[in-house]
Amino acid sequence: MGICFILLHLDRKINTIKTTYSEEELIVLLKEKNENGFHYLYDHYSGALYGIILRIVQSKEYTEEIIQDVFVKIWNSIHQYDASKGRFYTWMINIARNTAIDYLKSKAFQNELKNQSLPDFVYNTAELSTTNNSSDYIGFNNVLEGLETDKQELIDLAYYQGYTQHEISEKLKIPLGTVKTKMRNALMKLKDLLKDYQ
Amino acid sequence: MNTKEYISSGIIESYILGHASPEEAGILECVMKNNAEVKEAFEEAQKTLEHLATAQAVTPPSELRSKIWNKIQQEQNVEEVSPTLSTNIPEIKDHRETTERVNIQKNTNWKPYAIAASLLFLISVGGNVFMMNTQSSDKKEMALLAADKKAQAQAMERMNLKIDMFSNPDMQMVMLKGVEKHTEAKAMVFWDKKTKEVYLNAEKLPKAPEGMQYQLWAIEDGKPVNAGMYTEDKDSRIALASIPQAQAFAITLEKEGGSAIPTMENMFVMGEI
Repeated sequence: MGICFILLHLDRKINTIKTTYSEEELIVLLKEKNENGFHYLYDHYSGALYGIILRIVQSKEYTEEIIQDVFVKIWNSIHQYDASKGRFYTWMINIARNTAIDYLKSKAFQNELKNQSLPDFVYNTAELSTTNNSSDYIGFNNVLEGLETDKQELIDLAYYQGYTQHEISEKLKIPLGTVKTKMRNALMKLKDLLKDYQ
Repeated sequence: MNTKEYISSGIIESYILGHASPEEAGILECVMKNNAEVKEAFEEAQKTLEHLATAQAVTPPSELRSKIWNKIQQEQNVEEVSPTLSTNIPEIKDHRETTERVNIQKNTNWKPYAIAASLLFLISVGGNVFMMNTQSSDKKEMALLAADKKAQAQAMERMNLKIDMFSNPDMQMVMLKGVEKHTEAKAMVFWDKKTKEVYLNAEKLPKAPEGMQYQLWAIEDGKPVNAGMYTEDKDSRIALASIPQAQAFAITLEKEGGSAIPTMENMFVMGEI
């Protein structure tokens, strides 16, 4: 670790902007609060994180606000990232999801939505996407459409709408254990589907 | 439950989505360290959702990069100001100045200071109440001292038993820490590597309610195995069960006599080996 650190340091001295960093190198840069680290992070992950937030809050305006918070959170809590509990990219995805879902659930946001008279926002994304914000969806790459409807719904509820498994079990009227195994099957299907995208 | 069943139960996906209970998460984290197959499935599931995120990426507006960088730098400046605040609380003048500086930087971060102020107030009130109480309670204390002495003698006896446990080189100690709902709780498992017998020190657990009893579980490949019922009488003295293999131990509160499967929401402590 110590040697890597010095090498990395030397490397940066020689060649200030490196084009590829490994995840570990990136984490070291971020911990050092290095500006190149930020740019690398932004170049490689902003699109994915932006896409996730947009899918959750369904408004470009809010997404732009939330993604700023997400980057600040990643920047400030990089020391809390624990590689033994998961991958770095997944960690960032979860920060983005949680921040966006919290935002969605916050009262202020709900009230504002009422003012915009969007009906039952949380429950009805299909309706939403055809109404007010449809312009947001131009060029929106929806991989999930390749899945069967029930699997799409499950991933949408759990991943993009922040439903707990208990809530999903109640909403879809299926036992909790089934929710869990169905979720796994849905992700297995998704994995196959995503092979074509790589 | 074997490894395959454990993986297909969907627990890994629950964990990644942030839906697993602290108990389930604790078990999974422990199993992952010991089971390559589970670890591999965990990596795979994460990668799937990462690929989904990459495949569904949307390019943000170009001015966003500089907006975010500015915000990060702004927050960092505020952070550098904050520490001086906490050390300067007694100096009112200084304090006010710093607060103003923070305000200028549009920091709405007044909560820590409000909390700090409330805490100081509480400590001061608490101090007064404590002083008043100590005077009136001198007599009570005398009586308590006598009782204390007796308790100490008993504690000493238990301590000696524990020292025997500690000094046994075959004895593996496993510290069980309180789960989210019971962060204060803790217990210690003594596992005799020769005889495979497990002993439990659980004096630090709250007294079990009437009709209920603490049950020890050994976690073997993610599957909880009954490791015996705890009574105060057995504490650090009498083996609860013989456990050939385990990656972790956990304690749940169960109806008297125990249960066949642990009641997860009644888990108090858990610790991996």
